[in-house]
Amino acid sequence: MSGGNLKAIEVNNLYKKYNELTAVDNISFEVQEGELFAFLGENGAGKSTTINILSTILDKTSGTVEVMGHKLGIEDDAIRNDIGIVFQNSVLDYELTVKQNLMTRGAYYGYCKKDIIDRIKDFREEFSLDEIWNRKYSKLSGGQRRRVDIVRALLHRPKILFMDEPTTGLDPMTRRLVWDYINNLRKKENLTIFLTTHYMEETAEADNVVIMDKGRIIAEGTPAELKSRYTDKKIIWYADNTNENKEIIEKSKASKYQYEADHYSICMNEDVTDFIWNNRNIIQDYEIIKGTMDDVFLNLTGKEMVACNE
Amino acid sequence: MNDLIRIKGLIKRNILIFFNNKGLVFFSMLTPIIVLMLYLLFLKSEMTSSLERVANGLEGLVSTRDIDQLVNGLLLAGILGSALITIPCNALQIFVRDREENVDYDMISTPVKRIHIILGYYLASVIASFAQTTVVMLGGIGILYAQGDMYLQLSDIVYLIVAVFLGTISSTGFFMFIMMFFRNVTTSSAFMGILSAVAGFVIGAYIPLSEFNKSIQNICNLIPATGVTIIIRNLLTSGVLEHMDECIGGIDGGAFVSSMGEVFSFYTTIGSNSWTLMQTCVYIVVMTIIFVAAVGIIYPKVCKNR
Repeated sequence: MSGGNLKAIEVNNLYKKYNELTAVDNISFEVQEGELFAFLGENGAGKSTTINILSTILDKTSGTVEVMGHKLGIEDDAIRNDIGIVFQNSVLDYELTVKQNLMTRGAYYGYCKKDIIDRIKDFREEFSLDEIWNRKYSKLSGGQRRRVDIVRALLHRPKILFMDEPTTGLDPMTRRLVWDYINNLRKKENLTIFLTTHYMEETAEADNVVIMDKGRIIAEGTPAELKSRYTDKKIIWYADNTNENKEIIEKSKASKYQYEADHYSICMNEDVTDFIWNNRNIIQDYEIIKGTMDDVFLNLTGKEMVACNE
Repeated sequence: MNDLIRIKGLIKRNILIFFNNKGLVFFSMLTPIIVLMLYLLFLKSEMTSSLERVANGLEGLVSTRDIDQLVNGLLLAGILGSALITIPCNALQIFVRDREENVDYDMISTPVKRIHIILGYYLASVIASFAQTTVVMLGGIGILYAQGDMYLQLSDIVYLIVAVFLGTISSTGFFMFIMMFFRNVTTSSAFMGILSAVAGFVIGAYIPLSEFNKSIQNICNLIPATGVTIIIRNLLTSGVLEHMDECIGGIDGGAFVSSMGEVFSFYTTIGSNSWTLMQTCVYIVVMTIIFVAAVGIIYPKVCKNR
């Protein structure tokens, strides 16, 4: 899926320390241009801090960062022109209308009134802004606010869009909508999207996922890689609970199994195919279920929790 | 050119927020309203009666109506002086709120420079306070004219507008310096509460400064807002006082007018030194420059590194 071979973001040995607390502890990663890159982690894992450093808001303690080829700390203004941010908590003004909010924000980038109107024109339809154009931001629903937030972040046509937990606190329907917008944008503008989230399922669509815990990167890869690396597959074998069957399972490399109502659920990391093939005469009615990103995350962070519990 | 658009955008945002927030606008006028109430309830009658007693000694050469207008002028000076403290302070609450809610992240992640952001808050507060105070002043002068001649000349009104401007730039600079150290609205509101109570006393709106002991007088006189109030008080009442002096016709050798000036602090007095109005002006301008420069140097450092 990744569009170009250019690096949108390159981070090497990044640290951020506050007095005694190390919020970001020696992390390195790369984001390719056009990619949907997800940062996954619990609250306080250091996701927002990392985004804030990449977007020039916070100073790093040490390490090097390049955003769209611009060095952080030296070419900050160039970086600022290339990035848009959807913040975790909205930063738009509740007292102002949608129009006033967007017009004043446009001015931050040095655009005059006419320029801003031109720039917003496309978005007004796509994000159905017309109906709320003159309404105060405080009077909007959560989903409408998010829409305006996204338009705000895209005003200056950035090359990278940072989204810090863009769907936290939204209802399922609105979450779907926000995702539709994001996917549309990626297709249309070849936008690089850097997402943080603690909803595991949202990372399933990402090209690359980095999992953070306590300021460190504890795993990275495509969702498929992560799933096969950090979760067991589960075989549901519909059969009677007999001693013979149990023996077959115990002889295999299953890490864990149990009988539920009319089937065995067997956890197995590798050799699933072999297991079924070798016992093809006996195992006839079965399903194989891959682990989810939830399982990956829990396996990595809550060590004692086992993947097979759904 | 782009910088100008940026600063204009920031100013517009801050002003729009202030005037769209009815609570902020109301509380910015609370102290001036209290000053007005106190005058209407008892301060005015007390001051008029004591002035009338003095006037009786001058064989009725000073008319009751003139005394009334003198007290009215002092009242308006008190209202404007306290407004020049509380309005900028309230307008700058936005500055503290933006920091508390991390709304300033939205600014510092754009190509807007830190110095533009601070300038945006400063100028927005100056413009909003200047506009609001000028409206109050012109309204007040209008009401006073409806009650009798103020003997004000057009040039006095122009000077008054300049004095109000001086008041807004100095107060905003001073409070910007203080607000920079507040990290949340709860503390800055508590500060505002204390300030609203103290403002009326510091500038001598409730009680003439001459009633306080000397060292407190000195401290109050060093506060730029008090200086501005002194200038406004002079401008608003000099017409009436001159007229009174003419009516008295030199029998007292100008003693009445000069004693008025002493009682109601017409000049900045530090220890035994009395400053001319021009010196007061210069002092205020210098203080403004110092505070604004301090903010400009400190803010970009406070802004990052949290």
